[in-house]
Amino acid sequence: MILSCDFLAAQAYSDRFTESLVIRPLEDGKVASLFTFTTLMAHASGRDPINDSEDKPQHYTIFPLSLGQILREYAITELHLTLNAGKWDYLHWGTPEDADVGSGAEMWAWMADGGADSIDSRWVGVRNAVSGLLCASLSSLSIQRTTSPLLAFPPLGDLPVIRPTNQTDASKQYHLRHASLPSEHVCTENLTPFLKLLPCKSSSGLASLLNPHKLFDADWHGMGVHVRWLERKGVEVKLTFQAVVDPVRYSPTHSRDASLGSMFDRAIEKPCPVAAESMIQVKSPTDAVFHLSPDAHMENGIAVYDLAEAEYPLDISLRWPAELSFNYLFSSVHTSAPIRVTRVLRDASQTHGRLTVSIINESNHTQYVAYLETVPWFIQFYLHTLRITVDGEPRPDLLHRLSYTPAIPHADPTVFEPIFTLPPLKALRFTMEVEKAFLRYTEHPPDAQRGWDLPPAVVLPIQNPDLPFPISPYKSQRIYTSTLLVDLPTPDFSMPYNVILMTSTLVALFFANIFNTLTRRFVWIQTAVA
Amino acid sequence: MSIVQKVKAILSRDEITSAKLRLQRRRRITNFLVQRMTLLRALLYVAGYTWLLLLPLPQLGRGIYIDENALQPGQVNTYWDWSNVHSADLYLGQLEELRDRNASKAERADFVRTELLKMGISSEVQPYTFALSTEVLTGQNAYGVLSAPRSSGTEAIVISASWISQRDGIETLNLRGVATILALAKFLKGYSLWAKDLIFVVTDDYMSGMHAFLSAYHDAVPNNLATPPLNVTSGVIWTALNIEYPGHSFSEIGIFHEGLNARLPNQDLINSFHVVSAHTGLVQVTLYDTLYGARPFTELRNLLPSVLKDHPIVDGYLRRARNILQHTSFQTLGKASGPHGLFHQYRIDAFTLYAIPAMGPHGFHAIGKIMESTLRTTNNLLERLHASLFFYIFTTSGTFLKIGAYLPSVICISIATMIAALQSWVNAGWQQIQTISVPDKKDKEDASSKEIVTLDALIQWTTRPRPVLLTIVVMLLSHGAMAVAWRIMSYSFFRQIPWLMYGSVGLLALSSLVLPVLLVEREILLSPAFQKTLKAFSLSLTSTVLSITSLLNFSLSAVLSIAFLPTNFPINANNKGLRTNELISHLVLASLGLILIDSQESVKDWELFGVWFAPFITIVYIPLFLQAALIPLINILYT
Repeated sequence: MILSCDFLAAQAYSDRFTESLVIRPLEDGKVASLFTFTTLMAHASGRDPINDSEDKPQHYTIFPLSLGQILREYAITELHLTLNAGKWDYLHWGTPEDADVGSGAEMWAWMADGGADSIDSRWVGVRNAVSGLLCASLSSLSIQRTTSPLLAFPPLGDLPVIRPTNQTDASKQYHLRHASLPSEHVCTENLTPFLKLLPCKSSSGLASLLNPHKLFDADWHGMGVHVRWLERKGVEVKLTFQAVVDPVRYSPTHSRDASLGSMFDRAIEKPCPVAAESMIQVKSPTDAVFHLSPDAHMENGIAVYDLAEAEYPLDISLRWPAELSFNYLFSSVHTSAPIRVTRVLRDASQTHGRLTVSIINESNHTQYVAYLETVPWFIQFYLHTLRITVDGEPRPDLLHRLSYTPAIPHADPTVFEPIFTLPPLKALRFTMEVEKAFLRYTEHPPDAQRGWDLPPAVVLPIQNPDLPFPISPYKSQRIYTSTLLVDLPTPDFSMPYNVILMTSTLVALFFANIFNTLTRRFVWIQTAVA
Repeated sequence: MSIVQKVKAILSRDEITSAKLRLQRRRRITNFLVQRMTLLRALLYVAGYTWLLLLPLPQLGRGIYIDENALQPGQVNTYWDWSNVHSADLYLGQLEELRDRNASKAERADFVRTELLKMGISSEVQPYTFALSTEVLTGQNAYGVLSAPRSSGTEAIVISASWISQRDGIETLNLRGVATILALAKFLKGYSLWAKDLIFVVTDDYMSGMHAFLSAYHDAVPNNLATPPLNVTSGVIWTALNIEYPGHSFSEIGIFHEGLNARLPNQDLINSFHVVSAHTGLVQVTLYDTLYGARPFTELRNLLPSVLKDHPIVDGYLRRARNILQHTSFQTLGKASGPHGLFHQYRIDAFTLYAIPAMGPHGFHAIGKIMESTLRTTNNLLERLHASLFFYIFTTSGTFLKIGAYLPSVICISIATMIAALQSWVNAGWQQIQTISVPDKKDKEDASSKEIVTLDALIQWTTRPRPVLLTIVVMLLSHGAMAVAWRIMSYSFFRQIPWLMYGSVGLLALSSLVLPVLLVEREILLSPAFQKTLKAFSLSLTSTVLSITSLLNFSLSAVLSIAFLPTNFPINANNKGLRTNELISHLVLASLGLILIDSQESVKDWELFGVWFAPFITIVYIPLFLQAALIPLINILYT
C-alpha cells in the first residue's frame, strides 16, 4: 500500500501535455484540420481487476480527473470513443489524419478479464459513465449493438500482463467490446464537456480555435477520446477534434484561400502554459502558386509552426494568389485514398433487400483487406447468396477467409468478417440478399417511419492474410463506409389506420350473419317426437 | 297483462318454446328483408350512382390542411435573388445554343454533367437502352449528388427535370426546367443547412429516362433495360420534386400528382407546396394545366338556361367535375401524369410542378423561391410522410375529397351487385311452387329434390341441383381464353401485324362463347339452374372486383361500376328484342375495353412500366362480359 502511494506521488509530477494541429488542403477546395491533445500520465497503469481495489487514493494534475475515475472504476485498459457528424469523402478528401471517421457514435474498449465484475457489466458501466461525461446518448448502445470483432479493432497500445497469470499470452486475458450508434447527432453539447477535459480549456493555445459557431457549420466534424497504455511510458489519453471546412462556401468570390481567422473565426492569442509542446503543421501541396504566411520552418515539405516561438496573435493563412475563384475541374491537389468502399442496401420490398458492396483497389498491386459488417439482428443475411464478382465475372476465389456469427433474435447482432484479395486497379463487388425481420410493435422507435440506421462497415487493409485469429496484430488504418437506412415492415401507427382496422373487424364480424340471412332459408323441419 | 306478468311469462318459458319463438322472429326478419331485396338493390344502385354524380359538390369535400407538424411550410426566409435568376438565364442561353445546333443526346447530357462538376457536385452520365417489342428507346441521363454537410447521407431529396415536357400529346423542350435545376444546384450548394443529400437529375426523353434512372438507383433493372450501375449514389430517397417549365413565363403553377397504377403521393407534400407557393412565391396554384379561374365545359354551359349558366353553384360544380374527370382519366388507365409518377412505386412522395405557359407575370424568380422554400420544408422531415394521407381526390387545388366521402359510392353499387348474385344463387337452387296440390310422385322419388313443407302451407319450396362444376369450367374457359389472348397481345410478332393480333383475340373470345354451346347439352344450357348459377358466380366476381379495385384504384372501379351496370339486369328468357339488345351491349362493352387498350397504348405501358390496366381488362373485364353474353346467346340460339 505504501509502495503504491509512493508510486502515484512520483508520477503526479511527471504528467506531460502536448498539443498539435495539422492542416491539409483538399482536392475539392476544402481544408481538413486535426487537433490532437495528448496527456501522458507517466509510469501509471490501468487498474488490475483482480489484484487492485477500487478505492486506492488517486492523484491527478493535468490528466482529466473525471475520465481517470471512470477508467479506474471499471478497470479499462484501452478505451476509444468517437463522435462524428458527416460522411467522410475518401474520393476527394483522401485518407483522414485520424482514421476513426465512422458516422455517428462509436465506442470500443479492451478490458482484462477476472475480478468480481464481469466484462459485460463493466462495459455497461463504462458506457453509461462516458455517456454522462460527454452528454452523448451512448446508453442506447445496448446489447443489440455490442459485438467483439476479431480483426478490425486491435489494441493500439500495449496490454499489461496481470499477476498472477496462468496464461502465458497476455492478449488472451483481454476482451474487446465494440458498439456503434450511427444515428447519434453530434453538436455543441458534446464539445463543451470535451473542452473541460483539457488543461487550458478553450482559453489559450490551440484549443482556443475550437469555436462551436464555426466548427458546427463545417462540412464534417468529429471528436475522439482515445486512452491506451504504453509499456515504457504510462497511460496516454489523446483527445482529438477533426474538421473539414469549406472556404469556397464562405468566400464571396468562391476562392479557396483560407486562414485560421476565416476557418475558426479566431486567431491564437497566447500559448497554453502547461503544454510541453505545441505545434501547427501545414501539409502544403507541391504547388508553386501556393502561398503560406507567416513564413514557416519547412520539414519534408510540411510547414511547421512552434507556438513557443511564434508571434502573437498568430493567424496562419493559405493563399493561391493566381486563382480568382476556385475551379473544381482543375484542382492542383490530389488526395484520393488507395482503397475506396461503397455500400448500398436497396429494398426490393419492406421484407427483403440486397446488400451490394464495392471495394475499389486504386493502387497497382494486389492488396488484402478484412471487411467487417456488424448489423443488428433484424437484418438477417442469406449467406448462401453471397456472390463475388470483378467486372461482372464471378470470382469466388477472392474470398480468402470468412468468420461469421449469426444474430440472436431480439439480442445479439450479426458479425460478418471476410478477408478478401483485391486485384490491382479493380473493383471487387459482392452482393448478398438480406431478410428484414418483423418487429414486435413495442420494438419500434417513436419515429417508426424513419427506418433503422445501420452502422458503417469497416475495411482494414492487412499485410499477411494468413496470420491466425483471434487478436490481430494489424495496425493499419481502418476505412469506414457510409451508414445505411433501412425500412422494416412498419405499421402506420396513425389514427386513420386504427379506424380502418376496427371497421374491417366489425364488417368481418357481421359478414357471416348477413351472408347466412341472404343465402339460407329458415324452415321448420318435422322430426320424430321422442 | 301487467309488465310484471309479461316478464314472468318470458322467464318461465321452457327451452323449446323460446327456441321456437326465436326462430319465428328470425324468420320474420328474414322474410321482411328477402321480400324487399329487389327494392333494397334498387335503392343501393340509385344511392351509388347519385353519389358518384354528387362528388363535385363542395359539401362533400373539405379544405386542405397540413397534418405533419415537422413540415412547417413557408416558415423560412428565402435567399434566392436576382443574381440567381441571372445565372439561370445564362444556363438557359447555353441550353438554347445546344438546342439550336441540334446537339446530340450525349452532348447535352455531358453539358449538364460538366456544369454540375464545375460547381463541385459529384456527377455522372447514365446511358440507357430499353428494348421493347415494337421499338428501342435510348437516351442519356445526367445527374449529380450534392452531399449535405454533416449528414450521414442516408436520406436524399430528388430535384428533377426531363428534357422534354409533354402535355396533351404535344412535346416541347423543357429548357427552362433544366436551367432552373442547374441554377438551383449552384445556389443550394452555398448553404450548409441541408440535412439530406440533394440529387439533381436531368433525364432524357419524357418518362423513359426517369424510369431508367430510378431502376438503376434502386438496383431493380428490368430485363428489357440495359444500363450500367450508378457510381455516384446517395441514401434512401424520401421526396422528389419534378419541374416542367416549357414556356418563357408562367402565370400559375399546376400540380400533377397521379402515379403509375393509380398510386398517389402523400397529400401533405402537395399541401405544403400549396402553402409555400401562396405565401412565399405569391403564385396561384391550380390543378393540372388549366388556369384556376378557367370555365370548363363551354358547350355544356351553352345548353343550360341563362340563369343557370353563370350561377356560382353550377360554375363551381362544373369546375370541380372537370378536375375529378381529369384525375379519373389518368387513374383509370393507370397512367402517370408525368415523370414524378415513377417514384411512387419506390415509396417516394413526388409530384410535378407545371409552370403553365403564359405571357407573365412569373419567371425564374418565383419558381426558384418556391423551390427553395419547398426544399427547406421537405428537409425538415425526420421520418417519411405517412399518416394515411394517400387516399384523396383533389377537387380544386385547395379542396379535396376524403376517402370516406368518395368510397361509399362504389361500395353501394358493389353491395347491390353482390345481393343480385346471392339472389340468383338462391333462385338457382330453390324453386317456388305455388300450388296447394300434393307434388307428384316422380319428384318425390327423386333423391336430389327434397320436399320441404313450409309453415304456411300455401307456398312450397323445392330444391334442384346447381351445376357448380360446369359453371366454373365455363367461367375458367373464358378467363383462360383471354389469358391466351393477352399472351398474344404482348408478343412482338403479333404486335407488328395488328389485324392478325386482333383477329386471333376475337377468335379466342368467340371460341369461349361457342365452345360451351357446342359441347354442353341443350337441356342443361337452357335450364334456369345453370343460367342462374352462372349469373350468380359472374356477378359475385364482378362485385368482388369492384370492391377490391375501389381501394387500389378508385377511378377504375367507378368506371367499372358504370360499365358493369347492364350485366346486373335479370335474365330475360322470353323477350326476344331485349335478349338481342343484351347480347349486343355486352359484346360492345367487352370490345370497348380492347379499343381503349389499343388507343391508349396500354400494352406498351405494361411492357415499360408494369401498368396492370391492359392485362386486367383482357383477363378480368372482357371475360366477365363474355360470361354475361353467354346467357342471351344460348336463349337466342335455342328458343
